[in-house]
Amino acid sequence: METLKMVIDLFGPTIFVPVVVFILSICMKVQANKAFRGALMMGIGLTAFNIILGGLMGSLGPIVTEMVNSTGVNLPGIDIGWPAASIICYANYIGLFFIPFGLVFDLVLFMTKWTDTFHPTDIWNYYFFIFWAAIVQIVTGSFWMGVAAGMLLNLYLLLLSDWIAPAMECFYGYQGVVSTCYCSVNSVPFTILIKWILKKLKLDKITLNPEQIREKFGFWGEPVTMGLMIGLVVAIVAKWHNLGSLENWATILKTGIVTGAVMAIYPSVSGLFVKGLIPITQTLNARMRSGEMTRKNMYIAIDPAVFFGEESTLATGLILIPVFLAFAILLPGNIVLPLADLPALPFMVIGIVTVMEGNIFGSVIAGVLWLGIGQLMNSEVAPIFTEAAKSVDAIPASAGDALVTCLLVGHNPFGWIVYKAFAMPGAAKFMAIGALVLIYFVAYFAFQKNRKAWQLAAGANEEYFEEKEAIWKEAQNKKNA
Amino acid sequence: MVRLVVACGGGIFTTTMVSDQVKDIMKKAGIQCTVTPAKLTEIAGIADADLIIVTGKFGTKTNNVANTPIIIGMSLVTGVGSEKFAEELVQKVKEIEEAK
Repeated sequence: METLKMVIDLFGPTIFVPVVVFILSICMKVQANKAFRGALMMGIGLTAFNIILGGLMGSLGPIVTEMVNSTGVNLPGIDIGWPAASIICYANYIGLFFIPFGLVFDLVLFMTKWTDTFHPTDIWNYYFFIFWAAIVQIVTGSFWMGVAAGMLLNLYLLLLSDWIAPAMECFYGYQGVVSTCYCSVNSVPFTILIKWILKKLKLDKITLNPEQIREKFGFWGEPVTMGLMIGLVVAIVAKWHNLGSLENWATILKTGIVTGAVMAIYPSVSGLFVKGLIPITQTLNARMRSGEMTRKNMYIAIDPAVFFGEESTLATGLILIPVFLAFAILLPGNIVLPLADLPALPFMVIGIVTVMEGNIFGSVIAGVLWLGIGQLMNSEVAPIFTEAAKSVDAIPASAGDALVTCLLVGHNPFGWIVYKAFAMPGAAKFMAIGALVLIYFVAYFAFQKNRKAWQLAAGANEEYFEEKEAIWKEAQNKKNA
Repeated sequence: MVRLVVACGGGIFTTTMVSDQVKDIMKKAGIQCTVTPAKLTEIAGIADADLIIVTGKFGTKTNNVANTPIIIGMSLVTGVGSEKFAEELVQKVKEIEEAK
């Protein structure tokens, strides 16, 4: 064990992540040359990413530190965005471990019909709960505690996916697929509550026009513009005490350019990194699709990017971007400066819009409240996640006291509550963890018993169930004939 | 040279997935092209493309500055109907090539 750890440390994540992914790909029967190419690109993406994040943190880190020290604007936590957070998660031991382990765990859950969602096709988004597993590992100092936390979160996630899948199919119109990305589905119970309240207040009939919103707010969704603007504003605030100095203006403009540049380069680097996981996803996807329909309820996990562009989703997400920025400044207790994930906000409203059945007004109300809660959680975990990032050398020393976190990934009440339970001292810890496990089982069996009612509450419609019943009967008849 | 753009929500996962397949399809059809990744929120401002392929649902009445046609390539993500899509794509790209 010690030797293994030493070897892993010596070679580092840029070597080990591709090796593990390559072996896993071969086990999943991906063609060897595709698997090799994918894995190689993953290592290259990881290396390139370290350089880019180093550039961002080296430039923005000192500025943010200066802003906090000289003006009292307390936003030392930089939102480095999900592309960066994912890479940090997978570069940590626990993330590396979870790629094969989570895949096997999910296969077992699906094969035993414990869940109807086939999760491994969305293996790329495992980092949404690995993030919290890493947080637990750091606060408890135990790798296996982290793994246990990750498994518990995986179970909660699949329950949410099974719950929302019919509603997603009804609203987005894609058959048999569901998002298993935490940020897209963790809002389901909360939104059902808000939807009920809005109905009681008779506010559920207000409609907004998505096209107009997109025209007015479209500008907020352009990553490079946002990066440039936020970089400039933060730097101006930091240098506020002496704006007469030419040197300071040089720093201000350079900071703006660097943040804009990072936003522009992120996708291509992250695009290299994901190449390692795409062959696994595609192979599993093809195998799932080619199999005969042997189950009445079956949802294949898919990346939420395919839901992002739906009109109401995009419109709601765009409206929330300026709201989020305002939160960062006005919300007491918040220490996170939104940056890289701002243009990604539509990902976070996918579940909300689904439950609201596309009603933008309702979605914005639910979204505002939901984002407020998340900001506070993110503020709490930022220092711990910074440690995780530092342990894989993702943050250069020049970043100073700046912290890092990710809006999308750190915004997760399920993750937060699991982390809180695991962080408790002594015997209280095991009681809290036990309680969370118990809640899961109670919710699971309540869901299995009242499936249809729960799924209707999440936004599915009666026609869906009738249609499903008809298709299933036909398939059964065919099988018997 | 036909200029294609592939876009999805984050410009990363499904974009890379679809881009690689589009490149393969074009190579098999013997068509020279460039494939550039993008985010859906950037589509409105893309002025230098001949065809935009989105990986999932996208509002149909998008005001792209250059009125570039947009098609949905979801079948390359799920694998359902990908062959039919490939044929349609080749057809469309050939039309664009001829019109140039």
